[in-house]
Amino acid sequence: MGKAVTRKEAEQMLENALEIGARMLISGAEISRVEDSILRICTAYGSERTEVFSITYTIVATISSKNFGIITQSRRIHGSAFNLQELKYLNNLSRNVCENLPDMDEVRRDLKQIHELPRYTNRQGMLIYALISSAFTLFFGGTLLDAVISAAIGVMIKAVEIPLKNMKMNRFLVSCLCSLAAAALAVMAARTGIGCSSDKISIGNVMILIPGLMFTNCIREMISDNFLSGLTRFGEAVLLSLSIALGFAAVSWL
Amino acid sequence: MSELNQIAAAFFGALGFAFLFNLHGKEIFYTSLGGCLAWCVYLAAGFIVPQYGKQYFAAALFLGIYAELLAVRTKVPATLYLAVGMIPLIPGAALFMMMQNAFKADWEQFAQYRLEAFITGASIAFGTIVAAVCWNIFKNYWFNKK
Repeated sequence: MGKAVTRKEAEQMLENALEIGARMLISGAEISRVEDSILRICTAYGSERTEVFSITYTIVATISSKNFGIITQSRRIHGSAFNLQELKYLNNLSRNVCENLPDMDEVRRDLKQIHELPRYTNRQGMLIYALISSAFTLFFGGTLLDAVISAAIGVMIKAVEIPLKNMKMNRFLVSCLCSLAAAALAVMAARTGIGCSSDKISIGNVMILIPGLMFTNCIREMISDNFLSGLTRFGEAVLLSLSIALGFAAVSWL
Repeated sequence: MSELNQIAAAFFGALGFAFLFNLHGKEIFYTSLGGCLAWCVYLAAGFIVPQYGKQYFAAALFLGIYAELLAVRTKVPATLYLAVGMIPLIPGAALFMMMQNAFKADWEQFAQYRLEAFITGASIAFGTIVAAVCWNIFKNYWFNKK
């Protein structure tokens, strides 16, 4: 469609730019990438002055030009789920949009297509949890027996997590209950006397639940000048690890 | 021998997270390879400077450069390689031990693990940021020359 001339065109363009940015943020992009993508798209479509501000929970963008005046839109972001596949395609889309200036209908269609890309099913998810748990049990020095038990517990964690997530339960409570189940199973396995260590098993299971990546990423955000987002993520990471530790501690009190 | 086991486990751990982050196709292999190589660098750095902070820094620096190189080659965001490659490095165990000691009210151990988690997290963050900054300088220099 080329550059936005009328006010309506510009409004639609900004809406889609924000949609791309919001979806990137949800799938795990860093703040600077989100702000940069929106800025580039708006500039490509003929905005003369673009101001974008984003934190973990909102994006606000204002564009202005002689043709369409000043337009501000904002977007509230709910939750986040690492989905690197989606991030990859959104990044390609945003590059493509900047280069070819396609119609807004086309952009909307592409966005819908990206949203419908395949995800791993719950059954595959169980195998993934098993793989992660057993790998990290070995990584932290567990024996082969520990790894096998850890894999079995990984499958159970997914089985506990699926119904809780479907109930739309508070996510801190979900991690707490998952870790409670994992710790109880690990202690039970150790008490049967087949010679496995509950510590090594648990550390493998914890790697699934612990927000280690969130913790490292929030320090990265803080260093690269997005202090507010870094701090909110830091608080989240601490609270999540507290709720996981609470689940494990509850078992040792029993 | 235990090092070899660890490297293999790091690969499979990263592989698991590549699946968990919903990657498909050939990226699964290259992202987890990054994690595996980063752990190799961590272990190799241990022979020169046996301090975990510096070791993590070296590993993250390597990972950052690996991510930027492959991002240019395969035209995907570097975040993909960073997020998966970081998995073997992240201070998950330290973070967990820290909180568990808080519940046991063992404040000495708590402080020690808190420091470890913080140093590890900060080293990794600094490593990847230094890599990104160096890469930008290098790229600008190279493109301006052309």
